[in-house]
Amino acid sequence: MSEGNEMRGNGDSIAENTVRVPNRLGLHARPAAEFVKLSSRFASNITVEKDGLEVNGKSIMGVMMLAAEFGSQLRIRAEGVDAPGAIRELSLLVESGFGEGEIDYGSAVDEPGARS
Amino acid sequence: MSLLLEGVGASPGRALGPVRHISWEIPSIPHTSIATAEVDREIERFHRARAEALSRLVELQHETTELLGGFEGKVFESQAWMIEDPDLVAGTEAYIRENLLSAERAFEMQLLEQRVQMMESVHAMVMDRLADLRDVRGNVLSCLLGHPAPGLEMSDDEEPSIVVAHDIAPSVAVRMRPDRVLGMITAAGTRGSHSVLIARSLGIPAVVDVGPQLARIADGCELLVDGKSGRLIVDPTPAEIESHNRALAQLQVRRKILAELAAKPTETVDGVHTVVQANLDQPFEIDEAIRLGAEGVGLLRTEFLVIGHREIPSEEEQFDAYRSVVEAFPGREVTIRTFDIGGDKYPQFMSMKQEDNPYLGWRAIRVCLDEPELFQNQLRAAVRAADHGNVRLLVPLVTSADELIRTREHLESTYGALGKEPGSGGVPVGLMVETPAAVETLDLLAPYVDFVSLGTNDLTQYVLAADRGNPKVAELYDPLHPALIRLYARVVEACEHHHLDLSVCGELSADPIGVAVLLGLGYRKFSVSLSSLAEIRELIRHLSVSDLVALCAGNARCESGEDVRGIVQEYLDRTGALKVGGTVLEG
Repeated sequence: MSEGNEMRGNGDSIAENTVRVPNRLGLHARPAAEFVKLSSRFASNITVEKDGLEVNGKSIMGVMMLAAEFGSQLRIRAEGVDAPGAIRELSLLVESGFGEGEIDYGSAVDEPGARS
Repeated sequence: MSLLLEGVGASPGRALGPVRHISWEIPSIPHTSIATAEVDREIERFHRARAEALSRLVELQHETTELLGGFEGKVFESQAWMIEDPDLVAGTEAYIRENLLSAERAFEMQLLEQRVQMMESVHAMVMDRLADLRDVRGNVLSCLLGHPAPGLEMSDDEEPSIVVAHDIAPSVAVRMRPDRVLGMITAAGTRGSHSVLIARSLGIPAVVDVGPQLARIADGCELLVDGKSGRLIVDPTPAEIESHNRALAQLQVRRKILAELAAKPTETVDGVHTVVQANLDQPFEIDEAIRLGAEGVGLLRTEFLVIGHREIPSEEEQFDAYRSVVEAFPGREVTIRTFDIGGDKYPQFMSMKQEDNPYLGWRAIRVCLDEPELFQNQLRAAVRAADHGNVRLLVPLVTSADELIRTREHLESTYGALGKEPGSGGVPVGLMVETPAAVETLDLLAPYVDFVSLGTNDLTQYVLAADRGNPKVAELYDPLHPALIRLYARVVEACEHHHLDLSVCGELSADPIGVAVLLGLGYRKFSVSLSSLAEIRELIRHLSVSDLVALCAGNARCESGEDVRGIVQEYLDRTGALKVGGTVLEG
């Protein structure tokens, strides 16, 4: 794990960590909302990077633009007074699969409703 | 003359009814400039509109949660975060302040920018969100313009119809009344959109991505919808309507067959008795499993108790969960698999360092043996649940006898702690065969177990050295690769020799071709996910074990999984077994 903390003179610190998206459906709308809900609680600037695309970690549009599928690597980076805590909590959220079971949008209900 | 249109089947089911076009377009916003003195006022207007749009969403989320459940309600939570998006807000403010645009125009420009970026990504996950962006646009702009929220009003005296639109926003979809909306058809849209999710929850058949010709169908035209195939027939002929009605009648018959099937044993045409059990992820799936005729639970995954939890689940919480499953299957086996965490899923209460190679890392029984508090809680809960029925314990990812010996020691001390007789009469312990080591040394492991369950998913990836989650090598992942078929055969042989009960709980047992091969190799007990359970039971009832044994023996030198599939598929087509089994649940 490429976790690292670094202190700056002004009391700010930089922290970062690389995590894998563990849920089968990837970082779709609901996990993206969970992510920004949590990141918005921190004062630090937070960015997320995937395959060279870096976005604002507090922007749901940005996080959704990553199109992070199951198994993809995200580098989360925070800079500010609460950077290490932000990285710790955000990493936990991702690694826990956003508290999501194996919900299957695609093949869920295949018992057709008879309608005419 | 009828006209055939084809789209993407998104929500299954059939419907016949008149077309009703709906549209809730916000009029295009004129390019309005403002004076510098008006900047602050426009920004203030923008924030008021955002606040109003947010309160609409809170209400919509509340209504949707009441109507369809919390999962569906969350759709509007992600839209709320879009309205709160700092980049979106800052971008709009900048357009107002720097380009002197009106709030409406500035927000519109900002969304257009987002939309262009999304279209450029072409990734399905991003495209699925376009309808949400439209929804947010309609919501905020209508607040700015003082228009009512975009919606879908349907009165009681209105004739039920098939709703047709360019695209349907989730906020509109959730207002569809299943007694008034027979189907939802869109020219654009994707299968993974939130509107489709909502249509499925409402039981409304849906077809998306039909294309621009959809706009040319007049209001009131009769439309026949097949939400599974995505086929639409405009102005169907009497013969086509007749065939639609026949399909509906068949559906009724299939439902009846399904209900009758649930009570019947799963026996092949040549009288070989098999057992088909359910794989369960959550206790709430019990009712569905019983309805589909599951003959017990071959795999109860227990990760739902830990993943996403901040604390180790208590013994009581686990006991309640296990007991609810055990009591639902009186006299039937309920196979509880010990925590299979690690690999890619860890609970929040465990601090985990990322591993370079998680599937070869600290997971499953390795974690349990290193975390005695976690493991013993689970064992105590399972042993207590065994007082209420037929519980078996399944240990995942075993590679050595030592792991089984230590599991047994934990179990013995659990018996002691609970004041039970040690040893005999305890809960049967099983070994999940999912590593090459377990297959190779089954004779050495046999003395420590009472049963064996074949896990084809992990075994496949460990034997073929291919991660199916990696698109570059997913094609190499083939559970019918000759190497695996040989291993499956050896597991049968070893279990017969050591008199061990054997079942299969991997995904191969949910694949009709896989089941045919496994039957031919000597497997008689299958544990299947609920989505395939009825289909697999019906399939087995149309298969002949003696045919399949001969088929497997005659093709033992197949060089690829593809060849195996071809041969078995040809057999299933020839005998009609797949057709019979496969159509049970088709719409």
